Amino acid sequence: MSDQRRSIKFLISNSSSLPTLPGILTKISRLEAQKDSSTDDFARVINSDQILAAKVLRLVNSPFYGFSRRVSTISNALILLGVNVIKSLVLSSSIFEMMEKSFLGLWEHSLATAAAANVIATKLDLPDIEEISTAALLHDIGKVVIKIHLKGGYEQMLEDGSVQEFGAYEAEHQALGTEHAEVGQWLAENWYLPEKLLEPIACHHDVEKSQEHRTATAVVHYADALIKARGVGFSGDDFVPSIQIAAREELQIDEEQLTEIIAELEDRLVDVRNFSLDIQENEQEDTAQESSQ
Amino acid sequence: MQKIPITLAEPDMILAQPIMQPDKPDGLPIFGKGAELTATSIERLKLKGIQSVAVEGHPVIIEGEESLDEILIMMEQRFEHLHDDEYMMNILETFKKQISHAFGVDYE
Repeated sequence: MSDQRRSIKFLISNSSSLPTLPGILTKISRLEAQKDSSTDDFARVINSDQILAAKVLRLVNSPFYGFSRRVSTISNALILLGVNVIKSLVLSSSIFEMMEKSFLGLWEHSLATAAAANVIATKLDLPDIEEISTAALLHDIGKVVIKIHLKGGYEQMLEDGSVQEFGAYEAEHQALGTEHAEVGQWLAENWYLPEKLLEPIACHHDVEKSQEHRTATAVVHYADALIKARGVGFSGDDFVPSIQIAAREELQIDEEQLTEIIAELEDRLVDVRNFSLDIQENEQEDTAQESSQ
Repeated sequence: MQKIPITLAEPDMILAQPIMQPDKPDGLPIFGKGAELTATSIERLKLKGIQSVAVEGHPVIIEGEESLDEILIMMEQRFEHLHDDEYMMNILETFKKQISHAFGVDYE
């Protein structure tokens, strides 16, 4: 194992080096271990941190889940989206916050990919649409860890000419002996995320590698490629990958479905842009308030 | 058709899609497709918590938003290395058609 690879793995296992994980993790894990825990028990734990609860609700009501009614309580969010999704949003909240502040292009790419995955999964009438959308939201989370590890060096690495030719994935592999999909997998394992979410994160650049959750992985891979093609946000490169044969065969999207998916996506992306602008405005207001205190 | 934040809606714009009630999405729409917006109706929509509306044509130039030509040229550039990939070129064509349609332009 290369030194860089080893130290990124260490960074993940040593959680104090990453943006602070909500202390709530232990409580949620404890509830998961108890067989008789109810949705209300989970809701109570999340509601004990009001800022966190508000952040989770903001994401639940974001355009990529596409609920037509506003979800106003954590209890309802748990019923609609399930414990796995809410737990993932809770665990990722600090990483998302970091993306909003210092990796905005990646945040916009992730939001848009989640919206695209939601549109595809809905059109294909797949089960577990919300879990697939959440996996898409998290698919590049490994890039944030790499950015933390390399400090200012990640942007420098991406400026290399070969990145625009072959993509950030290859550049990471050459420079670090690992890449963001594997790093995302380590993080998801460290957080005990379920396989349904872990596999699409780990295999979104290699759908063939996916075993148990190939459909979800194929959707995330497809959504990622559509968003890169459309040029929403910036995930580190402008490289549009060819959608892999394994994903094409798994999803079997025909001409008519493709037209409907892209038409619906165009519509949804307007809401995603507005959502991202709203978040940025709120951030600026919060920063202004903090500095005036 | 252009989807715009409600804050940019103006009187005389024509709705390209009906506006549903946020609390009763399956019920009767607040305004139907083809309705003309007025100052009063825009205020009413804001009060009801409507975030965005779809209007006919492409009446609003949003700051920083690329023109249709710019979007299509940039997309073609991103697909340059995929010219021999029929599946991906079909995706590009579908995007071009749908984006042109959203700008109210027929794409040939």
